[in-house]
Amino acid sequence: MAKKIDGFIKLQIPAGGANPAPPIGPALGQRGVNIMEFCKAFNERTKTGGGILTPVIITVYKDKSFTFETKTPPASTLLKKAAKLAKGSGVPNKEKVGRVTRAQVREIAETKMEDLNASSVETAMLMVEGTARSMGIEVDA
Amino acid sequence: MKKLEKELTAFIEVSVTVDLILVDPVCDFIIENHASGLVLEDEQDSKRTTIKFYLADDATPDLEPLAAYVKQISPKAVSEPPMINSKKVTNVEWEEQYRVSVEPIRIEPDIVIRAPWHESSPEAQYEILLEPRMAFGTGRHETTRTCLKVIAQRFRKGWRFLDLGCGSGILSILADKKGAAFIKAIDYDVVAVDNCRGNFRLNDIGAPFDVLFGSIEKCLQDPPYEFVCANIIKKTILDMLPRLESLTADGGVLLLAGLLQRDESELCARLAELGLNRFSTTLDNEWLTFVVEKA
Repeated sequence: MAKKIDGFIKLQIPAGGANPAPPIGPALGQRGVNIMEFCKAFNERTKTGGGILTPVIITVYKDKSFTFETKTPPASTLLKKAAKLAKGSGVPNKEKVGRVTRAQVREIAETKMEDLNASSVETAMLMVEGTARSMGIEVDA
Repeated sequence: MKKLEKELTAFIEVSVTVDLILVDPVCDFIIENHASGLVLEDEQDSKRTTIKFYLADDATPDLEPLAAYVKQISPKAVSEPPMINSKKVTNVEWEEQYRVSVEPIRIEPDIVIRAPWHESSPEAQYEILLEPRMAFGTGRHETTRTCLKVIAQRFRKGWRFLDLGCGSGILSILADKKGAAFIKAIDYDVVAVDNCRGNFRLNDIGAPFDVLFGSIEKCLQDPPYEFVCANIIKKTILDMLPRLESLTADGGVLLLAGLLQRDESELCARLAELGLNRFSTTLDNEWLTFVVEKA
């Protein structure tokens, strides 16, 4: 019989870098999930990720056991990688900090397709372009 | 312990509620400027998400740049204006929340793990009492579960037990109930060491024991143990493997856990290099446990 689900916890944390400090402590503690058990499992599974920001969705069951699924890095992280940037712009309307090509946007959209709520790659590309604009990254026409 | 408690006493929780389309860039701004990780909570029946992150209580957070950034990237057409709130939270809140939510666990018919306030299970052959803290080893994780089963089946009365990465001490407690002659439990997590000592008291451990903060260096001078358990992670196990082999008595058992299924061939090769050819594996979900018999 399938276990009953109590809820989901969504986090973004560095690959291999889970620890009991916030945000993991409060997010898991209030759901009754043992924090160290999640940290151990997450760090072991993502240890080759080089610390890249990793979205993770934890499914918590009624008996307080859990499973988790890691997702592709956020589009913002992939955009910075593509544009070779350490940081996005804090004032994207005024300050542009980098550029990416349409081909790079498509590649990111394709990478993110499985995690985005998009009906086609073209729709996903529009979402990625929106994120790029919000970070002060221009997209080549 | 004192230091850790001081470090984790209180935090400022900052909540930023934005439309879904803004989540990705706002998270990125937070990661770049404020925190290394965050929590996302989707609001039901709306296209908005609350992003939470935490700052040290002694920090004086300047959230103005974040507010300005969110305002700047918000399209005029968003359903509701973004909201930024902050409040103080303490470590005790979520540790206590975890503590009160713990329920008894049964591992096969004979092993029950429960908190001191749960009703006793006299029908269980082995009843382990654990004070729920933030240490690894509740009995719920696959590796702990498998180790408990192996100890229940393979541990013999009068054997000495070495528990590396002891966490809550759960495995050592079972070894004691099986008649261990001596137990050494070691962990590099101060919370685990403290929790393990408390749990040993709770279970009225009969064998002589040492619970130590540290790693394998704390037992290198010891005579070999008939049962060595290392429920840690792959890298640490691989680094320690020759010393683990030396610490295992001839005819004894070396239990290796915390490994993933994908690690199997690498572990097999390393065991073969050390002449450890008699072993079996158990898979529980993706977690692989090696039971190595030393000839």
